[in-house]
Amino acid sequence: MEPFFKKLLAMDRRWIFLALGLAVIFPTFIHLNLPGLKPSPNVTAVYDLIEGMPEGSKVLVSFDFDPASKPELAPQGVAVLRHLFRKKHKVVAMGLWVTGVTMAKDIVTRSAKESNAKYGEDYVYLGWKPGNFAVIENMAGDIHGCFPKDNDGNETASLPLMKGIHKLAEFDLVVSLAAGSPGIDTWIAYGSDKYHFKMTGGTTAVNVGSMAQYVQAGQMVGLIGAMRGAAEYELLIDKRADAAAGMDAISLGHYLIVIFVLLGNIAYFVTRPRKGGA
Amino acid sequence: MVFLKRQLPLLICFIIGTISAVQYYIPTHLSSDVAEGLSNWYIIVAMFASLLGFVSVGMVHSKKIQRKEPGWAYSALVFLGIALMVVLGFWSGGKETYDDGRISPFGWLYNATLVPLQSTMFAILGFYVASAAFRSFRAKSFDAGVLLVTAVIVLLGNVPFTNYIWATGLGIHDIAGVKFEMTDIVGWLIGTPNAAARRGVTFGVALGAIATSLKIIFGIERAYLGGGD
Repeated sequence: MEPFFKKLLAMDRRWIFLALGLAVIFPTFIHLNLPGLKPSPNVTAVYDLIEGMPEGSKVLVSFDFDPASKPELAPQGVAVLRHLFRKKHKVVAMGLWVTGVTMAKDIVTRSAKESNAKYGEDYVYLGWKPGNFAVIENMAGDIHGCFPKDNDGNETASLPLMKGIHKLAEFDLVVSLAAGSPGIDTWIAYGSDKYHFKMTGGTTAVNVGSMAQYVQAGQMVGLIGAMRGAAEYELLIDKRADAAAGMDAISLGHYLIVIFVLLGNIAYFVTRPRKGGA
Repeated sequence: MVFLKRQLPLLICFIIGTISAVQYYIPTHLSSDVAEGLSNWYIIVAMFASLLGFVSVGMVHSKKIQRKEPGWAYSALVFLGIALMVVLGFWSGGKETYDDGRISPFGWLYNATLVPLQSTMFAILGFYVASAAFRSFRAKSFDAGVLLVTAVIVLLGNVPFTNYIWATGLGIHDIAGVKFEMTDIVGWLIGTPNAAARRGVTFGVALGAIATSLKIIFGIERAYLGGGD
């Protein structure tokens, strides 16, 4: 067995790339529809929060990510917006990452169009402003002063929806879909902890561990984690879309990496030099 | 000149730093107004800093092109990219889509270059992770073994199908009345040992940031002024 494992360890890494590529591509052509997906308590908490708010509640959705995290966070955004529009909540969208402005606008516009939401009355897209945490501080005092115009150049004060919103604390809920900082932690430190508004959000797989502490401490309600979280949310709103479709690829990718880890360790233990050996 | 170069920045730093710290603990309208005013100033300074960064990037890459340093062509591409974005941005009036819904050249450039490039860069990481997992993730010690077992459990537990096999196939739902599905195990790992370690790190970083901030506010740390001292 030893020569086989020695060969395995010396394998060209491009074989690993090929195997992972095939594992990810295969389910996009042949849908496996692997069973087992069910909403986790954290995702259910976000859903219940939005579901339980009275119709017409004002919700700020901040798209704090760039295209690098689009596959994980865009499906979360679409699912949450679908839910918000379905419940007839009023949505104000924005972003703290400059490279995500156009992408966020596309997500908001498409979701609104699908739900027949009217711009200015049912939703508004403010866009981006430089300043990171200072934008949150600024919005806490005067949103119209911070964003005198929306992303399309309309006077913010002239939009019917914005006439009733002047400060951050007037929102019934703030949702941050974040891939890092500025993101959920920034909104909590400079926004919700100081100005006392309800917070929830979603993040990428690598950040779930960092954000779990805020959920535990009650600083945010629930958390949508990665594409799996988005798929769970799609399940809750009964509208399977991109995330649910991507779960097979994610699953096979995970399994393959576990196989690689186990194979690598077996090969290591079989081929390592023995004590007292030649 | 010494006053302008040394004492005035230290004075501004002391006043602004002290006000910023104190206003957080005084929940009045006045402190809110002060916070808003300071954040306005921060945004203005941040915009100038962006401009400074832009000039700095330009200088670094123009020097590379002038000296024909290895990889200078990439520096030329930086300028080409900036010029294209700026020209198309102005041409499109800064809009990604026109009022009639058509996508503008600026929006097209964003969707056709930045989105796929960033997505590709991030996706490539997955392939390197797979390769690194095979080559380097070894249980060479007890600690590494614990890390490896935990990682495998989290990886498997994050796949819904594993939980399906665990709960439906093997019929494991709880042990002695304690919920014991794969999602519960992963939830405990993330919510207990992981969160505890994260909190420790967060507190450590915060305490370090407070110490450094106090040193800057009181003028003990002056490296930001430049020129040593």
